Parts: sequence; C-alpha cells; structure tokens
Amino acid sequence: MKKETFKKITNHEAFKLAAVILSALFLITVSIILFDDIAFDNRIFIYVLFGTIALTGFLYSFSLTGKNTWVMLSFGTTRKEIYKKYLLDSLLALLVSVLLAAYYMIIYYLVYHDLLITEVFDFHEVAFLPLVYLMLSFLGFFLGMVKMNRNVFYVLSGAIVVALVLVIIYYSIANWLNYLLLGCAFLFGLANYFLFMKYKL
Amino acid sequence: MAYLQIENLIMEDYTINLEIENGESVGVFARRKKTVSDFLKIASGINPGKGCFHDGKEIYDNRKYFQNRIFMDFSHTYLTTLRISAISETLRNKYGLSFNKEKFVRIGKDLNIRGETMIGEQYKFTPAGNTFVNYALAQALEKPNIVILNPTHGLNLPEDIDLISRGITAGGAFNTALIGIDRLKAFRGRLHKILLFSDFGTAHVLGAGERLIVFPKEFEPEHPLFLGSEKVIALAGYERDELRKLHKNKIYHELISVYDIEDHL
Repeated sequence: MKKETFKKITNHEAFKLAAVILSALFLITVSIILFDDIAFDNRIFIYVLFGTIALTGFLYSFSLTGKNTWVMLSFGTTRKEIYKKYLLDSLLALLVSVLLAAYYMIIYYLVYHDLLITEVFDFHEVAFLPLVYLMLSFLGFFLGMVKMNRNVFYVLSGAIVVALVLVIIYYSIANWLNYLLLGCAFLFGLANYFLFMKYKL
Repeated sequence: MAYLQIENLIMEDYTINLEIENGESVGVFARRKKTVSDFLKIASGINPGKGCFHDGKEIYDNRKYFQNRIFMDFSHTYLTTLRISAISETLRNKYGLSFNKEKFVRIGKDLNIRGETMIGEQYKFTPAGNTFVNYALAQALEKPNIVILNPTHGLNLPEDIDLISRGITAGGAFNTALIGIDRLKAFRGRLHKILLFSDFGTAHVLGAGERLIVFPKEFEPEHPLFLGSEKVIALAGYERDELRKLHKNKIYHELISVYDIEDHL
C-alpha cells in the first residue's frame, strides 16, 4: 500500500516538474562556480536555457497540431480546451525558464558581487530570448496546422537554430526589436486561435 | 428528443438529413472512403458542419457532446503497448480518461490479442491485432456513444468480423453507434438505419430492411445510387405494376438487400 502511494506520488506530473526544477537549481549553483574556473562566457547558460525551450516548444507545437490534436479530439477533448492547455503549458515553460534565468543571475551576483548584474548580462538579450521562444512555439503550431512536410520542417528547425545563434553573436538586440517581437507574438497567438478553431482535420 | 439531429448538412455535393435516436446503431456507406470519413468527423463534432445538433445545440466543439462520445478509426494505431499501467497513465495524463482495466484484459484474452502481437521495445500488432486492441479500448473506455470508422480493418476470419460487428452494435454496450462501414455484409441485421452516399451526389437514409433494385448499366432509373461496371443500383421505389412492366419488356432487374450492394459494384 505504501509502495503504491509512493509510486502514485512520483508518477504525478507536479512531482516530476518540481524534481526537475530542484535539480536545475542545484546544477545552476554548481555550474556558476565551475564556469568561473574554466573562464566560460557567463551568458552561455541563458542562451542554452532559452535556446533549448525555444526548440522544444517549436517541435512540441508542431507535433501537437500535426498529429496529437486529431487523437485528442477523437477522445473527447475540445479544440478550446486543447488551445487553452497549450497556452498554459507554453506560459508555464516560459515562467519556469525566466525564474531559472533570474535565479542564475542572482546567484551569480551573490557569488561575484564585485560586478553589477547589468555589466555581465544584457537585459535586451534576456528579454529577447523568451520572446523568440513564444514566436517559435506559435510558428510550430501554425506549421503543424498547415501540415508542413516533416523533412522540410526539420530542415527549417536547423536553419532557425543557426539564424538565432548568428543573430545573438553578431547583432546587438535593440529595444524596438523586443517590442516588435512581443506584438508579433501576441498577434500570432491570436491568429493561431482563430485558425485552430476553424481548420479541418 | 433524438440523440443526434442532422438537418440539411451540406457536405461535398450532398445534403444530409439524419436523426439518430437513443439505442440506435447507424451505418454510413459510400464508394469513396473519404466521404464517409469526412461525414463522421463532422458528426462527431471534430470538424465544423452546419446543421448538426445534440440537445438542441450545435455539436461542433461542444464539450457536453464530446464527453459522452468517442471517435475511433480502427485502421489507426492508438496503442503501442498492452501494459495496463502504461495505457492507464497515458489515457489519464493526456486525455483525462479512465478505462475499465478488467474489461480490457478480458477482451484482450478473449480475442487472443497477444497472439497478434510482436513484443519488442514497442508492441507491434498485426492489422487484425490492431483492430482487436482498438475494439478492446473502445469497449473499456465505456463511453455511451461511439463513432467508428473501418470497424473490420485487417480482419479475415468470419468469426472475428462477426464478433467485432456484433460488439460495436450491441444495444447493451453502447447507447448509440455511428459506424463508417467497410464491409456491408458484416452488419446484416445489426443496424437500425443506413446512410448511403450515392455516386450521383445524393444522400439517402434507408431502413435496415429496405430493398434496392439492380438494372443493367444502360438503364436509367429514377433514383440511381451506384454505378457499377455492368450494373446500376437504384432505390426500389417501383410499384408492382411497374415491376411487371419491366418484366414484360424483358428488362433485367433484381431486388437486393442494402447489405448486398458490394456484390453488384
């Protein structure tokens, strides 16, 4: 009986999420010290974090509308519920990532308090990356709806990753670009909702 | 009030009127499989279509309607395992569904699903095994209303076909069944109504016992349904005198059951 209860708790989604977050917090703390020893670029963690969720969000959204929506609708979930859950999941992933990034910056400041946070991290970049995640997630959702060829999609995913890395390395992110991305993400999310409610499977 | 009311639904060239009462099993047949599939998607509320009502409300994306029905295409692979705990967890986490484990296991044993499975990292079912698994899942989910496409997909043995067709139309297991028929003969005597999509852009709802008439291809009947390579099948709305006249003029004609359509195409 005890074993069953334990299994039930450990199988719960909330438990899994909490375990992942705690592990991430621990690894962030350790990595800050290790990164200093090998003189690594301190911003690399932020890039990796948001780069990973952006790509995951892109693939997840594509597979949601391309394949999973069909079965969800067949088994009794309505389109409204699917979209609502998708938005909540996306925002939750974004929130967790932002919190992890903030935790990283705070710990960094506490360990190396001779530097100001703004001297180490470019906040335009820090705001830019979550917005890229939102845009890519919505783009994946849209491409899944229009049933883009899977191979073309994977080539596109690779191209997007390369483009993102180049933008981060060679261009400084201006404020206007962030506002533009925010506006586009909002409009894209809205357009996706209306398309999703109408498109035929 | 009917469980599902379809009034003047326009799909492709067809105008469809259909009522499904509680306790009824209704078959859907067309030459083009896509027509049947498109209709079932509309009738299950998955795709938009004007004129479909449940409890007086449009069924498209209707939460109440969705909660009491399940749509399954038996040619599709829904499960890649027979491990009950894994199925149960996936159904709960992904779709918020519960299922009757005992029923699933019992049906699985009755149909010898394991005999139709290659067990590796993922379970690979034969086409018949896949249909059996889907059937067991449809039963174990215990939704009152089902919409099934390709119900006998991959089945060859008459007893298997009979078992599945009986199982998805039996009044006790489900309140209503809307079935996209892939083999008409298998459903002889099991349906209350059949919706036929003709080759001529018309849709007709026939009673289970209704008869059709077959003519040579050259003949032009009043209400043609299907055009075969040598014959044309039509609605049998002919009076006794008219039939006698056909006989007298030596025009070949044959009255057939709706379940025998495929024999004449």
